[in-house]
Amino acid sequence: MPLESSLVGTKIGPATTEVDARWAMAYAAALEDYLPCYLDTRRADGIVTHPVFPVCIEWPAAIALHDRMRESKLAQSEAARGVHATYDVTLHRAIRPPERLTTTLTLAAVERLKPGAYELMRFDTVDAQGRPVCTTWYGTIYRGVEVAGPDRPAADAPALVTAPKAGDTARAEIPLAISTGAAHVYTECARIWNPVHTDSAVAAAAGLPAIILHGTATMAMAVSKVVAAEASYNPERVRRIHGRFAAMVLMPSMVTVRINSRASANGGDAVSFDVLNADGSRAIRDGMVLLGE
Amino acid sequence: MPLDSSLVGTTSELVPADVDVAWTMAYAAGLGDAMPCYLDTTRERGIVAHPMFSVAIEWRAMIQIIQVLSEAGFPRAEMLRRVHATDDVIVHRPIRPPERLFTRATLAGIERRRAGAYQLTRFDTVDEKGAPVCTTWYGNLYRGVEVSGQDRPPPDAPATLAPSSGAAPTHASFAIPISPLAAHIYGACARLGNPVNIHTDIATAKKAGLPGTILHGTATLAMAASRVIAAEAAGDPARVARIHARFGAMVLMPSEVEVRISGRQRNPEGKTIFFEVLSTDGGRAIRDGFVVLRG
Repeated sequence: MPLESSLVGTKIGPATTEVDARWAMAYAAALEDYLPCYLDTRRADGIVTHPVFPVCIEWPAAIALHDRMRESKLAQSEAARGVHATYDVTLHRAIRPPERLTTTLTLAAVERLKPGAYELMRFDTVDAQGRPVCTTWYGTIYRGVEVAGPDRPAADAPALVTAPKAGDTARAEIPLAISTGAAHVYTECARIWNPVHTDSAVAAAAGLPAIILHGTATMAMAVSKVVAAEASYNPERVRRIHGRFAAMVLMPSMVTVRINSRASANGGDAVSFDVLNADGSRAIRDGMVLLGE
Repeated sequence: MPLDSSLVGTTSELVPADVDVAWTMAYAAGLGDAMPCYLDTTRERGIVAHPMFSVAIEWRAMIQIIQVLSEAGFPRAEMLRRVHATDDVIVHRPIRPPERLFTRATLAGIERRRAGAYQLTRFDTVDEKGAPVCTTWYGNLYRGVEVSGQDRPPPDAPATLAPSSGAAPTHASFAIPISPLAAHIYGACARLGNPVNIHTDIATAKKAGLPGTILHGTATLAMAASRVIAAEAAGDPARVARIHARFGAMVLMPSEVEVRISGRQRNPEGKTIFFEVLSTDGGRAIRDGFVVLRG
């Protein structure tokens, strides 16, 4: 059965999440990122969460939306063909645990793309005073699945930051070891439970060669390297992150974070990057981290 | 305020735990143990939990015992002087997820020790048919805390084992790197419930007078057990019948510890492997360690 575009506009939430230091620290630990700003609870202004941490608080709403979609026409077997395709988070300010945050999900778009049905979710997270904390656009492609109804693209999705043209040589190529248990550890530390990343029987049933690392884990590890190399180890400078997911990251393996260029854009510095998997295929393409002051 | 030995005999409710593959796989992954028997769900017989996984399901029953102490007036400040002193896990059979298990904690003993008050908690875990799965004797030492009432040691705690030939040369040793983030990962992967503690929160650790955050004793023990299983049980955790340890020196992060296998002894049921774990500065993080293997 197809993905119904009439579902666009469906909302989940608002749902409240308590973000505590333990969760925030565990998330950074899963990425093997041990910057004191993530872990040292003695700091006068406390710790901050990793810039990709919002995915943790957004996950329950995404599950609730997909449960609702399965109640309509999308079959379980079709839902299992969903792959994370795009990610775009705007960070209005850093998250400083403990914080009570509230997230609302809006199904922002459903449209036909060549490989299948494309779904775009928008997450708006605000703090206890109702002030914006982060906005995420999270795209999923259901491979080989049709769309019912007219295409309904998102009217208000932000334009991607145009990546500055890369030179012939990368600014940096940073190797990253992905351990055998990386997805299991990321799952528990992020509190994102999706068995295709951890259960080899589920991965085999989905037609995958083995369990694969979460796209957001690869993204977060790459962002850690960008923060270290280009933002003087200060994640609070990160204003926006986007990228498109492509090749799989198997475990164990080595990936390479390639920082391609850096240039002024959108009132900050845009650092473009991609991530190459062990075969040299791009696991993340069109990666960009926008840094402010 | 002293620890009241009249509380011995207090029990928790029977606490259920739904043990799924995600949890047991994460526990093994949190130890850096990637053996297929823990992770490969395509195996015909499914996967098993690491033999030290029981600590993950015992935690919630432990909270109830702590609650009893708290309601009896035992102050939080003295609670924070608690250190994990001993661990003795009797494995009746491997845990094969998914399983629904039930754990009851019993405050089994309170007695005076030179360093303070020693409390022994017994955890009995059974399956849905009521058949025993594992029994753990978990010892806490409250440093510098008195005991009120007479010493009440448990009459039925299993005897510790020692090599018959006394001190033995090292048979094998294994270095284990402990990452700066090992305790965060272990706590999350085991799903241990304490939110702020000396293992992951540097502010709490410093307040407790520690030089830094320290790795959980059960993490050190589980990592050591992994090495013993790989080296002495042909990588088969189902052979583990018992794991015993006394905890001593702290394991700081990052560091490297050394697992030393100090003896092997045949017995009618199988064999016993004696080991110790040395911290970076040579202190014994685990002493009197042994793993009893079936077969």
